[in-house]
Amino acid sequence: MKLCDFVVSGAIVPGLPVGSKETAIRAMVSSLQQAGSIKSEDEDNIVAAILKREELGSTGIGRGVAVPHTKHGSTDKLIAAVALAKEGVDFASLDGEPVYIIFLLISPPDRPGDHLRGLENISRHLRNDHFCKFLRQSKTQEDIWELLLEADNNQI
Amino acid sequence: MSDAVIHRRTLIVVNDQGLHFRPCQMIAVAAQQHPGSVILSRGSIRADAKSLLELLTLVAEKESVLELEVIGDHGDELAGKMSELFSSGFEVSHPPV
Repeated sequence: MKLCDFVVSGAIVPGLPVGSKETAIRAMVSSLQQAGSIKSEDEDNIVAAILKREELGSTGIGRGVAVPHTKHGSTDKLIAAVALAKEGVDFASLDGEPVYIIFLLISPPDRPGDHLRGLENISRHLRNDHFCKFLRQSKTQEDIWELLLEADNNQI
Repeated sequence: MSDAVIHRRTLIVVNDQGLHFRPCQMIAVAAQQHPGSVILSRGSIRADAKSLLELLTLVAEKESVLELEVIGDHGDELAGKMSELFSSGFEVSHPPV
């Protein structure tokens, strides 16, 4: 599995507006809806599920990164949105630092293996300081998509 | 570290969703309490159990067999705690998300 297999190219948000964790999550779920990956009637329910998951413990994992996620029956395959928050978002991260890179995952409840492989893929690349640095420097959807392709091809 | 004590356990993933985000977080929090090295392996993949990002690279689905290696004094306490976490399915009583 590669990043570009499940990141939705139309759901890349290079500049999240300044706001809270909830507004960031809402904007990313909305980008998946606008890209046609989820239905508009499922949007509020998905946002609520992701926020409920955050209540169990922040997915802000440090290094300026968060990976909010949920398992939800509205999709039959693993999908993800990517967003950059230049000003940082307070995600109540483990290290107390703001979040600048967000990968948001939605996976079907009956495919736990795909969910794990998606998390593995994202985690593996986020361990690469160059990947994080280049991602934060990206300005457009195209820049970010190109970077994900390069990461998939081990060119970073 | 020449006479460091190494405590090893074989651990089996019993929860349906495998080692997803929350179990990995629980493992990392427990491992971080131990001053010595804590390694979890699945086959040839080795992860520093104190690092959430490394644990997530194990892709440990249900019934995966992992090897735990805890180095240092009192490592048996952590090994025992890890065994309990795994055998309890990480006490995830709510629907996995």
